[in-house]
Amino acid sequence: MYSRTRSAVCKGIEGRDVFVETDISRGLPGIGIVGLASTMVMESRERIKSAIMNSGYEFPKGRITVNLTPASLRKNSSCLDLPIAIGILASEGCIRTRVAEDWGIIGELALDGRVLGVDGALPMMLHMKEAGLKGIIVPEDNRSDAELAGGGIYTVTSLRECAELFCMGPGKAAVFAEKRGMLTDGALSLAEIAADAEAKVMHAGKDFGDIAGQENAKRAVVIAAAGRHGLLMIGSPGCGKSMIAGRMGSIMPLMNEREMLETAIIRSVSGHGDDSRRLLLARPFRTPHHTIGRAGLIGGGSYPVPGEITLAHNGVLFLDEICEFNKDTIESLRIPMEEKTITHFRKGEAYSFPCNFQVIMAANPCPCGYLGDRDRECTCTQADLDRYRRKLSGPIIDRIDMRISMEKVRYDDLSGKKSGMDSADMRRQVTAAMEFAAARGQKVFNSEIADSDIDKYCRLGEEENRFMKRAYNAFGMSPRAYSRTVKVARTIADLDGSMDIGQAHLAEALNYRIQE
Amino acid sequence: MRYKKNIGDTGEDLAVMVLENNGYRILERNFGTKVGELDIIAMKGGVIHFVEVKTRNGSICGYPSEAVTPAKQRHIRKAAEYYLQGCRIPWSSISLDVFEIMTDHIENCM
Repeated sequence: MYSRTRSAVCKGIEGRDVFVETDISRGLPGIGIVGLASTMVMESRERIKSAIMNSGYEFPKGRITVNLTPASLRKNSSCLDLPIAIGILASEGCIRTRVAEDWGIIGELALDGRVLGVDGALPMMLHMKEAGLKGIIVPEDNRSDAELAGGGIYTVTSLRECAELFCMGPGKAAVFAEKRGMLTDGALSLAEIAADAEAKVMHAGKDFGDIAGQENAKRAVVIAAAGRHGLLMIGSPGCGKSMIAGRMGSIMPLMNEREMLETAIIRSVSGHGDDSRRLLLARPFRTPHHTIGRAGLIGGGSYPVPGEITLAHNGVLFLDEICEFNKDTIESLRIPMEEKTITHFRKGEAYSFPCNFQVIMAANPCPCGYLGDRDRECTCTQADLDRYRRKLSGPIIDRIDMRISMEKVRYDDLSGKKSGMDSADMRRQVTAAMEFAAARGQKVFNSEIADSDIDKYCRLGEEENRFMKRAYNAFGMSPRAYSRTVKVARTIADLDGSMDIGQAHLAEALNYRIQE
Repeated sequence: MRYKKNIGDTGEDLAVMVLENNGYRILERNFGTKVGELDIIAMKGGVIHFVEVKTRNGSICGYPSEAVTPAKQRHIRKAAEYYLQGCRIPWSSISLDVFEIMTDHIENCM
């Protein structure tokens, strides 16, 4: 007997259709799965068999052949457990099914017949929604993802429950599920989440007010946050670089709906799905350790998964102790930093991940950490310094919009706490600058202004042009350095509430670019 | 152990009976080779059937036929090849079969 059910898998971070064909023929009992199934899918045989028997159904006697189409798509997900099990029950005649194509099913099975959550449920659900299926059945564990994907998705806890729903057909099932709370609500109220998220980031226990002194660094951070510019902080150990970076979350603008969905999809695929709805609008903040390898950073694996740069999509990638990173690892950031997307090729297929991240780096000025320090002497040799600086190559440095040197805070500043800006002040400035930019008619962050739009948004006056020409020649800037400096100046002007970029704005922007 | 052996032998006797009743001619029983043993070799309509008999009491261990593992299948195939090399009877094709016998001995139930 033959049956066909419908499911989906993730290819990278995109959902793809998969049809599960099941045929039971005479022969020695066993399940054979074909259709480029990975080990994870092959192992489902044992789970399915136990789950079916422990759910009170009879396991069919005979040779079961399962075919996963399209045959050319590599499948690596335990989410096919449930559709295969349903397919087997349908083939056997255990459950009465109409044409199964109107239903999409995903879910992993436990041996006792429970349905477990799967990674990547969100993109799969969105994909199935697009296909206009009559019903989508997902694990109860993935309810938060299901709510993001919209209303009318069924959540189930066991194979038996799923089979029963499946038999009923869409009309009856909706009534039945409604009664038992198995249907998800419609889309979340964004305003509500936004208020929640705002409260959450503001009360995360990390406030810029904790940082005494360092007002120039805080100023730089405001500019970086308002325009999403990259930032490199250089300073002696303990001067507050990591503290500053760790508080970025409290002043970054919340994400909009599109960004939230993109980020939620990436979280879902990487298994970092967070149950709390509140975090949905907060920008991700990733802090990989400096021992991270290239695959961990930019993504990889034989079934490619997102790396840290993709997890930091729409958020911040903080690379602390940047000079301790492997050089090749840092260099691998070159193209993703420009392209804002990374493509991996595996077995003849391309996997693209978005990686529109804001990079924040922190480093010591030298290996011993005290070069240029007021009180302590640097013990590094020239060779040490050279080796250390080679870690940050020209191409990488050139791609970072802002660089600041930080000094240790003086004792007087330290004791006179709370004098400086706190997160609330800074957040207000950032928001005001962004609103100003929006009022100018610009829809993207200043760092993301396309090259073709530079003349439109960052027009310089005659005097400013002369000023920049002198700077360009005097500092040997590259065209990229030039355009990035102008974008930073645009952000500074926005913070100032000024339509035009003035010389003072350019000078401050240049100051962040030109460091020894 | 004795009990289990008896179940197996009884099962094979039963299988022979059923096969004979269905028009099979039994060629060999318990044909032992150094690569494996064939329970029953029978013939019907020019086809030589190599029959593996599996007897199970109750279904708690799964279906009897599931006990014919890939390794066991390999042994049977080898043994069948061995038999065919010395076989004088003309045959058109061969068939590797499993004969399942399920008994239901429920102890202490009344």
